[in-house]
Amino acid sequence: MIRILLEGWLLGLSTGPYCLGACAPFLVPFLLAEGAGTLRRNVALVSEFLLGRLVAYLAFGAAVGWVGETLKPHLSQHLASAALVVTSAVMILYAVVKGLPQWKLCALTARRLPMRRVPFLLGVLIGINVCPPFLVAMARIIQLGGAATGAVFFLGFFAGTTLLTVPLLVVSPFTRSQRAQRIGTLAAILIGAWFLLTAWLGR
Amino acid sequence: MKLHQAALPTRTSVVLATVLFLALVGLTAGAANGERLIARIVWAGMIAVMAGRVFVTGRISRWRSVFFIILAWAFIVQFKATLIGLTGSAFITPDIQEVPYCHIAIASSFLNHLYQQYLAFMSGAWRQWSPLTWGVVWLGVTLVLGQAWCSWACFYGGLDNGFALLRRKPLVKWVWLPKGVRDLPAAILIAMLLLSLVTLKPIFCLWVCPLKLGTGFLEPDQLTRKLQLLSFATIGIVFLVVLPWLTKKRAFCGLICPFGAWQAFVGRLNPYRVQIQPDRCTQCQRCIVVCPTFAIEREGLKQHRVLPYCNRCGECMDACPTDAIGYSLVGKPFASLPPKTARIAFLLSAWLIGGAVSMWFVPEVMVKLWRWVAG
Ligand code: SF4
Ligand code: SF4
Repeated sequence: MIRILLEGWLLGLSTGPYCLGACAPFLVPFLLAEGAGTLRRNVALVSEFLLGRLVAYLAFGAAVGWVGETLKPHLSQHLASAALVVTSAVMILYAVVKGLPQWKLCALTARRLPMRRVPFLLGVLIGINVCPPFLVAMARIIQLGGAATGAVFFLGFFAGTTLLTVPLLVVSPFTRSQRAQRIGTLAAILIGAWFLLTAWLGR
Repeated sequence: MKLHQAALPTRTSVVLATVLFLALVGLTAGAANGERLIARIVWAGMIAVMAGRVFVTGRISRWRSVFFIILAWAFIVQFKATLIGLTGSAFITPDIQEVPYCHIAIASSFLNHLYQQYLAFMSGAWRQWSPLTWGVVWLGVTLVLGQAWCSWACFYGGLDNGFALLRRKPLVKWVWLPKGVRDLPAAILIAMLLLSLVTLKPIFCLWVCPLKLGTGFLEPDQLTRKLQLLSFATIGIVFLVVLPWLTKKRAFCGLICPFGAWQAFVGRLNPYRVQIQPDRCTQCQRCIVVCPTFAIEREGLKQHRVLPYCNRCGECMDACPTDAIGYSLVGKPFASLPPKTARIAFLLSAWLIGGAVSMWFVPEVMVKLWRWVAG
């Protein structure tokens, strides 16, 4: 098991920059818009996001390991597209609701939405957005087989990729100003719209 | 024309214009000969005359705009001519799928550049270092000129500046922006940076740049290509042409361009600023009305603050009835300098850098025009 954990970790480390690229468009505007301003609060936000990713990885790893060879990559492709659409929609909804609290509909939605759980939700959704390193990891689990093996492998993969997510906290000092929060909110809407467009174009 | 308070004596203006002319010729004429050399000397002379008019009248905007618009259109002509030379067509060709770069794309895909340079550095591929060299050139220009690039050297700025000048008075009065809208270019910059990194493609060039309307290098998929064309056309027509023409505001620079936001951020390294002197300002708001890029807000004016997005065009200085707004230099070494010195130093730097950039393509276009006229 240690060997499998290590193997996942190494794969995560080597493909980490790619994962960072996949996570940053969602995490950076979110951190700016959230505007917590203190490193401690932003660490909490990033941790919640990472926890979401971990949960998604473990669940996905276990499921893939269990289903083994019967789960073909094309199935995951559909799941990835669907997850991308939902992630983008959550981003846009979050930004609009947060950016326009003076609008009645937004205020109402804010009360109904589990706004405080958005980082976790984003983490889960991004976790199942299939990027190439993730596919490699999945192919390896299919080879290995077994729910526990899958979960352990993804635990290592998560640890490896997470190391590279930590530098995103450098945005912390910028998040204090109202201007930065506004910019973050607008960027979140733009990025959400972009991903919706690409999901629609099927790319 | 009535002289502005900032007007300089004729003799000083002539000396400054001559220094500028010699510097431009010395900097750029060395590598040319024949008709190209003549074109460069003529263009340097024209720049010196325009700068001299600014010094002697104390009004910046008119001659800066003339220079800026020539620069922009010469760039477009040269760009198209090069494209025709390369592909035989100035319009879309299916075989070209490369995306050419300009300074705007460099800003919005800066993270990709860093990554590529890191790879080039690690593998010892020295030939791929050119973006880094360009980075050094950009840093140098930014240190000297900062945000002023957007009103003195950028071809997009020259385009919307030109359309904004087509009317004497705005057809539609547009003075205020809803809160937060002025930050849209910064949001576009962040989105472009991150999306370019994740897709490893220059997203600004592929989806936003109106200059791509008449060129190739689009993604081959039909629907995607149509959407890209629609995006280029909408942004170009609305923000570069129609809005500036209707409102006299430079809508592309003020509301879209990620490079403007980038320069506003990095340009803080540059010591020139535009400042309002509280003891002179009467809060008449003329500066807000004439500022083409929405760089002065009502709330900010009360505290005599200009936004970092200000691109030092000088419109507000020409319009201010009390000479309360002007160029200044920040930093301890400059603290004791009189405002006039800061103004002269800035204008010389701006004409020099803008002039040197224009030397790349304006003389080339002059040669082409000359050959065309001479048959
Ligand atoms: S135009 Fe001059 S006097 Fe009027 S508000 Fe602006 S800086 Fe003050
Ligand atoms: S504040 Fe003045 S110098 Fe700055 S962009 Fe506006 S008009 Fe131009």
